[in-house]
Amino acid sequence: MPDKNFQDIVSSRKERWIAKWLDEVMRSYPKESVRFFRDTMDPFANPVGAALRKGVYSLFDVLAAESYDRQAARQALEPMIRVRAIQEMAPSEALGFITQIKSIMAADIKSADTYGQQAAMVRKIGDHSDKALLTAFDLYMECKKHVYTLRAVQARDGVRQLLIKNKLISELPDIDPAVMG
Amino acid sequence: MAETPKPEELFQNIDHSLPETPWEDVPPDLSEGRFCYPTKKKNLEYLDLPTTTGGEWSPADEQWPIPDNWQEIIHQGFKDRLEKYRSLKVFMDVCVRCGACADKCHFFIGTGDPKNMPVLRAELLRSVYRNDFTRAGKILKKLNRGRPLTKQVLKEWFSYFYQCTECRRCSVYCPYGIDTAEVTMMGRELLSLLGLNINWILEPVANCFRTGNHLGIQPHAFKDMVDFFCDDIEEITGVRINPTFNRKGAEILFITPSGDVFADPGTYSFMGYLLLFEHLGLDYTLSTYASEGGNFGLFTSSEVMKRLNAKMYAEARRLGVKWILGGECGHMWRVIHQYMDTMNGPADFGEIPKSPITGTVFENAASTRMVHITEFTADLIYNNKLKLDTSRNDKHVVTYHDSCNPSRAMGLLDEPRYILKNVCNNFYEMPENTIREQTFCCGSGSGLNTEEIMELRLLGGLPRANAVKYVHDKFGVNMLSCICAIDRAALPPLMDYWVPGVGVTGIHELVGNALIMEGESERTMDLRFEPLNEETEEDADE
Repeated sequence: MPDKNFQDIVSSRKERWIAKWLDEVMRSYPKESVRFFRDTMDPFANPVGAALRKGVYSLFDVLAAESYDRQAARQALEPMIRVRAIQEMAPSEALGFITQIKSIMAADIKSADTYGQQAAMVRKIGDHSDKALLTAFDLYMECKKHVYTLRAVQARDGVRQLLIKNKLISELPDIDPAVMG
Repeated sequence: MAETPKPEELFQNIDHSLPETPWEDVPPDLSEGRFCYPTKKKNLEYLDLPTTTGGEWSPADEQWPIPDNWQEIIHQGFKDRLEKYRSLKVFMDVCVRCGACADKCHFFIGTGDPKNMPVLRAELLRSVYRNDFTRAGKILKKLNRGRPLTKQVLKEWFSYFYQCTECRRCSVYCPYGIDTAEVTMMGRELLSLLGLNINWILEPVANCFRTGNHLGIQPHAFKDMVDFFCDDIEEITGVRINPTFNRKGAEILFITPSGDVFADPGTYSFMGYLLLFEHLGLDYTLSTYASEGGNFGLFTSSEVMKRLNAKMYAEARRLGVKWILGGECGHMWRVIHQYMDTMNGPADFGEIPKSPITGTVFENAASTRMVHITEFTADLIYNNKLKLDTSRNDKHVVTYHDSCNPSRAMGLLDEPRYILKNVCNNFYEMPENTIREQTFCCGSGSGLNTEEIMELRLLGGLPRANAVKYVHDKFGVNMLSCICAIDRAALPPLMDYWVPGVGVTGIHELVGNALIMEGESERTMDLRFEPLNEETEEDADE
């Protein structure tokens, strides 16, 4: 369990940090769209905004834990990365927000003039965000590969089904494994 | 669900600052993956449509192969259409930029690109209209928000009028009733005057003109495919069906999108249609000439739409049928319900459609002579004419995607649901603001179902998939039903990406599963040759 001081500091500043972090995420989008993504709260009218908002909250909790839980990070990151992997932006733009939590925290702690134990906390969350960036990179590539596969399948099936149904090609029949012995 | 924000919250969120770059100065992104591939020239030539001045080209090219007097051609084309369509003139003039439509487009919601706000997409055309056709615009130019037609504007048109699926969700919210889909249609028509079309639309159009369907399936192959379905049906149910083709004197001509003939899962719905007609002993025939319900002419120009649509009436007249029954298709019904009657109608053959089984007269189709199959089937169920075993669909937990065109263009909202509730036991609705008139598009309609823009399609389909995910997580929904062939092709990859584990089906596939046929053998498989339910699969393993 993380020590009490650590948790107190985090919980007292969490909302502020996350709000700023979400602003950083939103910098990827045109100003006119940020208003919509940020302010429309209905998740069915604004699925992107909902995924990003929920995502940064969940991810922060993962980063603030005592040790880095890769599986929990994947779960928190997945809805955000699934969207940003196919939006029109460079990979660095899509994932870059993850480590920006470091500078947000550092600036806040510095201005609060309570450096010391808190610096260690900032370092720990920062280290976790570096690891989360790598996890996000894995997810990003999985999403990209997913899209390439969907493309290939559509191109292949469009032709193949027609050929089979017109009996222009003949597929091997399904063979009962029992017969194969 | 929707939370109504308080006035003070709304005021806080008003941002009076101007955008950093005026929208007019932001060039369209025409990098690979952001545009549909242009059509092959031969398709245009086959249809006697204007062609580009060069050979193969790419929208990513700096120079496009258009004639030197391209501005004159577009200007004249715009003028002709403003004179021909009063609606276009009204749509150009009446918008007050209230913004009600701005956040209703699935492409805007997914991409966050401001030019996908319907108001701004229409502004691409409107700004040129103001500049060229209004007195204030001619004098005040930019001050009146007008702008001259430049090559960048033309590129914007190509980019954004092919990022609109003409789904008309935005129109539902417009206080003036502006049909933004028709603005897109006009934009595409104007581009077409220079031969700037996309292949995924023009190839099906040319095929349809030649062989009667989008795929270019020739008559013998069409018949072979249907025979193949009959073989499958016999294997699954023990019942042999022998449908007729091009039979003169049949009471009903049945026309469905060719997607139901060649692409899974639409093929299973075709098998459902065949089972239904056999169950009823319906006097119907299929046509190998009018072998396409869909009409990609709608996505090209009104003239092309009219040419493709005419074959339905020509064939109905030639065969001497009383009326036409139409299958599960989306945009086909927009053409039939909103345009066919004025293009090629009123019908000069047959009678007002009347169900030979229930005696119900479909007065709504008096002029078009064409009835949607869900109206027909819902009426059958309402009159207790079908023997159904709903338990055969028990492995499916079903939700219903209102396909854009049948829902918004013809108000077909309750009939599909009525059928679903009578052929399966597990049905759940998606959230209110994502269904019925407010339904979200699949993201691939109006000819955009092409693989080169897969990312864009997945983003456009996100709002729909997001609502499916909600009922998947909450109720265990594993099957998404719909009544559109493009949906049946576009939704499987959409589900695969966003909500794995949810399949896609047409409604008549579920009807076909549930129908108890006379003389049938005990059913162990559904129309996909899969076990009827999970227990059967386990039993089989034992």
